[in-house]
Amino acid sequence: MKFSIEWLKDYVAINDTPEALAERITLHSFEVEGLEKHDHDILMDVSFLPNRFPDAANYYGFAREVSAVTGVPLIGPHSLSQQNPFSKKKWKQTWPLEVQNADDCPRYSGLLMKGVRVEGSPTWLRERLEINGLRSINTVVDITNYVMLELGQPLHAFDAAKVDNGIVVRRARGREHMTTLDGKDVDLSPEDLVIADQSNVLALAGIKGGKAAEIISSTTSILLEAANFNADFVLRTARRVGITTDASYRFKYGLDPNLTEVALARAAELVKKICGGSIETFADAYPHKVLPRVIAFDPRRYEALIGEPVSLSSARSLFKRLGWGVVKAVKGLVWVEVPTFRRDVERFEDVVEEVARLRGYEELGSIPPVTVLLHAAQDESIAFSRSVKKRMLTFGFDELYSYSFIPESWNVVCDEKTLVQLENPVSTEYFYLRPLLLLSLFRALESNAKFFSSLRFYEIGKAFTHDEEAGIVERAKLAGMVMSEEKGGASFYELKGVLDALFQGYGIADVEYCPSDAWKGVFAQGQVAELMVDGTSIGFLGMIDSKWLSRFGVARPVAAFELDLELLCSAANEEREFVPLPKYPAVIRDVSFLIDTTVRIDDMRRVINDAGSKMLQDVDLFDMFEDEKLGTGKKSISFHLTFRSDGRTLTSEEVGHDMETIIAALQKQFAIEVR
Amino acid sequence: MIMTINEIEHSVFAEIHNTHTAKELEEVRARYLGRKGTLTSVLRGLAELSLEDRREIGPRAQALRDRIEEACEDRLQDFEATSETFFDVSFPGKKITVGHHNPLSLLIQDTEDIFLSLGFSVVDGPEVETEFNNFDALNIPANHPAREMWDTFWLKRAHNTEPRKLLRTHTSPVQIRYMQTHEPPFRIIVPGTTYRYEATDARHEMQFSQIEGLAVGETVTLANFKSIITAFFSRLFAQKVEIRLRPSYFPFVEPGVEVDATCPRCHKRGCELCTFTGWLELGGAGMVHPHVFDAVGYNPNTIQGFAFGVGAERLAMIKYGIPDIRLFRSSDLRFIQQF
Repeated sequence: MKFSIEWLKDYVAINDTPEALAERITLHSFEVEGLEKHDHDILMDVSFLPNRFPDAANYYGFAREVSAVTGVPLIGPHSLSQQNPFSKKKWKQTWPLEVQNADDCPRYSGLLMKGVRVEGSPTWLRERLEINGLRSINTVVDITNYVMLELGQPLHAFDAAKVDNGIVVRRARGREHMTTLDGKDVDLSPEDLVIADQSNVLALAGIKGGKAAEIISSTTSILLEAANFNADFVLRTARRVGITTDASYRFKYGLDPNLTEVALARAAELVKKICGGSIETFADAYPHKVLPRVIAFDPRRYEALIGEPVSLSSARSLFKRLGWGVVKAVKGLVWVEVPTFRRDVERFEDVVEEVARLRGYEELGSIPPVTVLLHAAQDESIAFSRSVKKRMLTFGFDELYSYSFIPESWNVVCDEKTLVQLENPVSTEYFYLRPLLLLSLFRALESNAKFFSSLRFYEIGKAFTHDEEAGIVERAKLAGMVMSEEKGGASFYELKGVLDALFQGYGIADVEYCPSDAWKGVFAQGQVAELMVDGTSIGFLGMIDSKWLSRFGVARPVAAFELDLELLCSAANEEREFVPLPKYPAVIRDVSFLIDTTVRIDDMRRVINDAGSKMLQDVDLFDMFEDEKLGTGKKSISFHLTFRSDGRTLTSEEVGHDMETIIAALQKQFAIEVR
Repeated sequence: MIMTINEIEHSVFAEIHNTHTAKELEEVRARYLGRKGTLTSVLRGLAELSLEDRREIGPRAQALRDRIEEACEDRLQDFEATSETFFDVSFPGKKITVGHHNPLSLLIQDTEDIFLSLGFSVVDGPEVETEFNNFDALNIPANHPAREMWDTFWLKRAHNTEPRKLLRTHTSPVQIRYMQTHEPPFRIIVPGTTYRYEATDARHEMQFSQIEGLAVGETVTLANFKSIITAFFSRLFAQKVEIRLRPSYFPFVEPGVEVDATCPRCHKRGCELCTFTGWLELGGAGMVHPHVFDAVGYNPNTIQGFAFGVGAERLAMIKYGIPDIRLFRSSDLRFIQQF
């Protein structure tokens, strides 16, 4: 809210420059967003958080804060500081007022005035409203708005002559409707709180007045309303009918019910001065009076919480500046009475904050904690993902952070029932939570493919699925992609090499790559492996479907993988134990075969390993090619076979014997030809 | 002015070494040993010297001439290498593919390391949260106007009977999870992804990272917080940073403060980064509200503590001079490869 410094001076003398005042307010109360020149005045833009909006986002309240911060006492109209100006009085006549439910409306106060002239407002009034963005309507309406700016209490004025026999505050009935002052027709529901008379709905409580009892130039008697409505109703109805007003905004934060009477007194004072007229009578429905809270303040507990002492006398002088009375003082303790306009101050800690901020946090020392020595550690999930990031870095992968959302049109990747959907997506582009982390990487592929001929990147992040029994399942994943410059399956094997190195780094020896048809549409059919460790699936590696890739304008083959980070972590074993270096030399034999293209390398390797050679240490594929000369459906495959014994140097006869055994085993199993 | 032998000796070898072509070398040689070369004129001038001086300078000048000739010969060989011995050290090295961390990870890892050294554990938590952990337990009940401070992504439920779930709007719910399963005293930080339902621009993101801190015990004070946070920012920005606390409001702390630090770029003199105020707003903090301790079953009469939260992107933007928060999740490798 913007405050005119000149206007503020009605309530408190300002001895600081605007800049100095802005700095003091920022350090002790609220953030001052800026100062701006306005004719011969300066406007101070102050931002209020929800706890202080009700008491301070108005001129008098802000002046009260300035007074507390600067120590300069409040001046200002007497009518603003009086207690119960009307309810103390005995009124000879009265007018009918009924509040059907005090929970909906804790207080409703009305003041009837007669002999009022409704005209155009004087210049000073128009100007002050304009500073705060309000348009001048007529004297009476302007006064109600002025008092709202001044005290924070929204007011409404009805033409009393148009009110049919008193006011009822009630829920709307089915099929009721009203026309607002600005001509909008609103259908009401029983969820709405309304102000009505015996025949019409006159206003939407706390939001907007209606045409039925509008103040016009011929109006002479007015009914001024100052009420305290349940914020839930105001919020809900304002949202439902799509009308937000200054009044509804203020009610939303909750107001002090004791404010209604002061606001009416102030409005009446201004009406009498500007429009003439006199007070006829007052009606008030306020069954449960809100009383000031009394809170004990103990300076020792203050010191225990803040870390520095405060003397009782300096605390007391700050309470005085705040306008809080001390009702009792015993043995170094005081009980303060917190005025009802500070409904945010509920307990001891709130009082501590008042003392601490008025003294100034800039004075607070910086004191290292004296504490027990604790073992500081990282959660395993965090430590492990850091370690994975380090490894991926050495494999030449760039790390991405992407959004957890995928477009609505991507629901084809899996059964829609397993997708987690947002209740309020920002757009159809960010519609579901990703069921696979690697889906998020396609955006990176799309945007980078035009700048780079080959790509390697990865991300660690969460993936989300909906499970009929478990509900929403959130898993930490590691996903990566490779786009190689080479054609065909090169990306796949490049990525597989990376995964092998990753597994080796974590001491995971037996990872099986099992053919899978998972995530059809994303992975190319028949070109995806499910990675199994000890019978548990820990993720996938596959070539991306070319049709799916074309969505992103990428023509080159791309491989991608995704691993469950938690499962990878539990399979990992980074313990190492020294193995003695070999004492005797190894013998390496190369052998090439001609074999059907459809024979899997893993199957050949298994036969070689199971052939019965005790000296065979390692089987290493080093060449594979297909060629017309070899004949269709055939491929050439070459292995290095490494033989070694820990007891002696092997003779070539021994190795030759084992080689024969191995070749025989292969020939038994496959249609194979040694080249 | 004729150069002395000492001066010649001092400069000539460096000049020979700095030549890059045979032509340049010949120019240098001519300057010293040519017909009008400086050393040549010294040798010519010998005749005019006294016998004593001649005896001293003559042999030295001769020796220097020989050394210069030799050095020129050697240098010339560098330029006249044959195709067999040719070796171009200026040829570019073989490219090695190196990966890059996202700057966000660098920032978070730095933060973790600093806090680990201050005795804080690093704790993880889920991104899908219950309404209770994200709001109610943190003293933000339904319909409280303060809830509007956090624009929330809600998740669809299969049945209306299920409790509402959301994407956490801050890392603070991990406070609740941690306190429900641990006893004080403890000190933790919680780095993690958070979400806000809002329009994105250079300073706002719908998905971003926060680092939450919580220290709980019997004697933890606000002055302790000031000390810890000063140490953190000073180490993160590798310079002495001053901290300024200002009153603020977060329902889960009381008192609540805004944490400003002196601008690490201009050291309080005022620059564009700090909008010429000398201060940067870096986070929120305060003393844990007793209602939060109530919610996790601690006794608020004996237990107290501080909590704070900072935005990882914001800190990375300051530390690395990144102008737009959207770059972190832009997936633009030209951005990531800078780090």
